[in-house]
Amino acid sequence: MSGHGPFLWCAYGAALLALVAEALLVARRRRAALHAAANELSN
Amino acid sequence: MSSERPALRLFKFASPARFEQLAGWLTPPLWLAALLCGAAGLCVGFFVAPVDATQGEVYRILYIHVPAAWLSMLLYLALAFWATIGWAFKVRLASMLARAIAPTGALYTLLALWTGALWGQPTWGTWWVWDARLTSELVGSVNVPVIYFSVRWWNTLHQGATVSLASAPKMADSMLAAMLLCTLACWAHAGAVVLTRTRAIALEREADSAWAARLAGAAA
Repeated sequence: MSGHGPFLWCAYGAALLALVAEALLVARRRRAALHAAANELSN
Repeated sequence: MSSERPALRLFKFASPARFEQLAGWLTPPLWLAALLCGAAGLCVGFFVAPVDATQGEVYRILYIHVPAAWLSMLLYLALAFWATIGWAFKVRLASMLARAIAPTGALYTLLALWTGALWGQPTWGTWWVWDARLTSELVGSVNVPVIYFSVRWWNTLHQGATVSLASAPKMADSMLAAMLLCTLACWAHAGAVVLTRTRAIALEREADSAWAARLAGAAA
């Protein structure tokens, strides 16, 4: 890696973490919205 | 044969209920495409593509930096488009789409700047310069064309375009393949995220509507 390994790790590590985190967060938000709609229905 | 004008037929898709169904079909293949293209792009980019003659290994940041930068511009344009449609035609789904695109556009812009800084330090000797390309990316959506053309209009530290529709790419085939696969992965990821967020926003806003009740009843 000729001394450039940390730059690549920081770039890809942060990018993959951010992209996966965003995917999980929107999936959770959608599930929460579905639960809220189900609660609305039962009320 | 329907006498409706095509433009009016398009507005049928502006119904959140219909959108929910359409997005439900589209989202799983988009997640799968993001995963497969991302894995393939990184494998080709790291294990097949050769080392760059002048920059060494660090040039491989390109496989995330360029897709993120392209997508940040594309998402800002999409945001402006849907916000305009929502405002001009009073289509609530278009406004929801614009709202769902904004965080993803901001994330890709942040990634483009972050990976750019990590590429700049070992190659230019600096994390950041106030050059035309970097500054215009930072300023964002108001000047998407300025970001795109900045490397042509001003001769600055940022290199010129390596890939352009008007000329042959100035990189090895395997490098180009890896970059395009990573670009497809980012597009698929952004598409899936935006569709999922829009579905969530629509449900949050219309939780007491008939279509949301049907959906919640089916999911319960």
